[in-house]
Amino acid sequence: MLQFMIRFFLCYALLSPLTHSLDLDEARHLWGRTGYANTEYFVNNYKNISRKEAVKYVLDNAQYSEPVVEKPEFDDDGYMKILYSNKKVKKATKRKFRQANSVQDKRKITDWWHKELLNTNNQFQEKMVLFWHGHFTSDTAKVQAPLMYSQNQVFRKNALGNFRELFTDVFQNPAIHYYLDNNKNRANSLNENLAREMMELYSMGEGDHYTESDVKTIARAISGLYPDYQSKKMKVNQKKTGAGFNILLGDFQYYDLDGVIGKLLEQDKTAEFITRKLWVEFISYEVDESRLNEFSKIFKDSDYDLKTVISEILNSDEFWDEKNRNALIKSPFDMIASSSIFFDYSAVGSKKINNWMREAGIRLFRPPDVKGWRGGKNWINADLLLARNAMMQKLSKKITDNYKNNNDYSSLRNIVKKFADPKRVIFAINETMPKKLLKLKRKINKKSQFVLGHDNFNFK
Amino acid sequence: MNRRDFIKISSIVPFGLNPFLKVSASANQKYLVLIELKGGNDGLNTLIPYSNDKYYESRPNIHIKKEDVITLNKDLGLNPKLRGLKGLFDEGDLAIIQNVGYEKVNLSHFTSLDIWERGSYDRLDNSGWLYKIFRENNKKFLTDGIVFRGSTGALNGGKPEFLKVGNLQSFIKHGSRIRPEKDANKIKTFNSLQTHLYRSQKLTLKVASKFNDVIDIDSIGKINNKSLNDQMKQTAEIIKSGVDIPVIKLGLKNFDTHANQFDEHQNLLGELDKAIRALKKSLSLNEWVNTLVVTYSEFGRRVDENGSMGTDHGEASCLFCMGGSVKGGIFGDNPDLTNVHNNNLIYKTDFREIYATIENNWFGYDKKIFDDFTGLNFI
Repeated sequence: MLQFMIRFFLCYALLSPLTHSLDLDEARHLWGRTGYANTEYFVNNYKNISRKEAVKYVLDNAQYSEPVVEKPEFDDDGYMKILYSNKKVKKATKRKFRQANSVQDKRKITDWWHKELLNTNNQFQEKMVLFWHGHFTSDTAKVQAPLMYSQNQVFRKNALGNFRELFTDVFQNPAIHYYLDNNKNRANSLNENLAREMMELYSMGEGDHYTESDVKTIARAISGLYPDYQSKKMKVNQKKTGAGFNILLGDFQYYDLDGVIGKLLEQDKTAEFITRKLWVEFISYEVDESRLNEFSKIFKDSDYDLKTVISEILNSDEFWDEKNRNALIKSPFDMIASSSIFFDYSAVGSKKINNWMREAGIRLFRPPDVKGWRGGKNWINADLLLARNAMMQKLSKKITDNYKNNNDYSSLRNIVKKFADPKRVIFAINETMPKKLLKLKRKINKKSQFVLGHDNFNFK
Repeated sequence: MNRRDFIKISSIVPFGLNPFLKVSASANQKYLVLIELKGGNDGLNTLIPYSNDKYYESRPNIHIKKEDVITLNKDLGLNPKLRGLKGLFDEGDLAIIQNVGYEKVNLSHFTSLDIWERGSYDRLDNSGWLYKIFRENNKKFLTDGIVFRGSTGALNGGKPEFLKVGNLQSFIKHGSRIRPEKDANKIKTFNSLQTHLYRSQKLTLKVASKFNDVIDIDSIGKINNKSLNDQMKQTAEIIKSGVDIPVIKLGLKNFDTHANQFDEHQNLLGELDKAIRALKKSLSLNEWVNTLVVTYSEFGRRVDENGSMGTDHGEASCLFCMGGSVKGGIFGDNPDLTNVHNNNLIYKTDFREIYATIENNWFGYDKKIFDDFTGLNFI
């Protein structure tokens, strides 16, 4: 008995992460993957909480919240009467309206999102909004700004909520229908564009588990929809819809848009495809297939509750494994956002940030194609690599100029004091930093121990 | 270029390949220029079977009118936007391969492009067809290729042996000044991604420094990364410099014409034509002989138009091979619009026949990857 107890305690001590609190590296790992940087709570408390408590804290704090930056204003009456009306409108009138509004409104929503990304109190949600934007792609090149904005609100509402609701709401919203020509899909003259991507990119992923005839069934079921601009919802035109009884993925039943979504979410492949994306987002580019199966089963059993599966992922040994730390490449957005720990972005301006991010490979509301940003090693090739370096160089120059002009470094130091343990600071300063800032770094270094994070700009 | 640069280059470049003797440097240097037409190019509106009534029946709204077709023979003609290509055809420098595709075509853009670029169906195979050819033959170049736009799939492989460059000017300017992290090996947590970063830095530095020595960047003028014409201008500079880079890859997107296809497709073909004309014009005869331009696209489009003045994803399509070494002409039968599969053209030439031709007649290395295919005789 005693022997058993000893063995039990040994096992417990060795295996359970509950028995010890986070070290700094672990804390950095968790907040780097689920937020950007300035989570004061972590800096002050990580020593007192376990991994499990930390994950719970992160998820509990990611309740749905509205954007903090005010909604851009659009000429809604104009959009409704001129671009989204059933009545015939002269081409010239449409063109005139577009010229007056479209470009300007697209800029407005991009600025709005940049501000939101950097000012939000809910970083995890914001990260997931970007994640869903890269999944359920739409592009301002084809979709008007007010619809893109409303789609962004859809992502926000279920960013960490329920994937079934998210999927349904995304397809209720007109943006994705315009993006993939489904506004032109009629029962008597089908357009397969959205139908195909609905399976290939948005739910099950590409493969032998569906056929060309399934593509046609979906195209038929989701034909004859038109947008209602005011409610930002798709409505059915009874004369043009092809909804009806048909065969999809081997099952004969009634299919309209909801019927199709329901059938797609019945598929294990869908849970697997989404869970795989989450694995790559949170854990590593290398996927352990048997663990993935476990996670995707949990995801599906919870009826697609995102927090359930993400909690499972963040509490897994794989997530905490040392070899998976600093093993993801930061997106240009991550680079900007995570350096906001010591850079005050209000001094930079969103137009500049927009340009840097574009050169480094991300334009908000402009995914590269229907598959979204590929991420991973694709963030680092000659071009983007140089753009990343240039971005950080320009950024640090801007910041130092700012400090130099006021002859005051205190704000930078205050930030360091505020957010970091003064005894042992892990502080991402790149080699490409200007000398002046390096000097400052050395100054602070005397008081506290810096670990020069060469790669902290590039990896998370 | 100053005297020090001259000495620096002379010491690196083997005797006889001195860049100042430009002709001798580039005389043997061959360039394969790949142009990806992203989205699935509509072959039937590119090379039009104008004598076939079925074509006009299938496309009541988006056909090319008989009188607009640039006729090549009694059955086939080019899209009116391809005037420059007609010129090449007349000079015997353009080969058009018809009905190209593969068995059981996959209609996903991404999967089908992967199949084309790997040259195989094997989903676990991560290397591109050119990467395989080069590594199989132990070839080492300054770098395998420069990718200006679009997918890098044909050159992908275990270790990065190509560079993706949007703008040659900023690449040369910033890339030649990059400082690879000196103590990279000392970093404790040195993982495979950091190795990837470090290798990319080194390769960038190496190639950008070389370009800095042999390419006069100011002569190109201001570059618009997106335009195919500007990608081609930069391509011409690389070819003229004679650097040891066998592949240059370009990209033109928006061929996925599900709706309102007519004008959009015409404009795209016009852009393609303009770029190829410009390349031909800027190269010397010798350089043109040593250049092979090949277009490709993940699949073709449906024979019948859809209800939104467009076409959905299809199967076989045609492609172009151009250059001073090309034996011009039309290869393959005319498209069969009656005997179709799900209303798609059935492929008659496997796309790897083109790869086999390039492997045998263009590179001519000993070890073959595509030896299951006999190849065509367009080179």
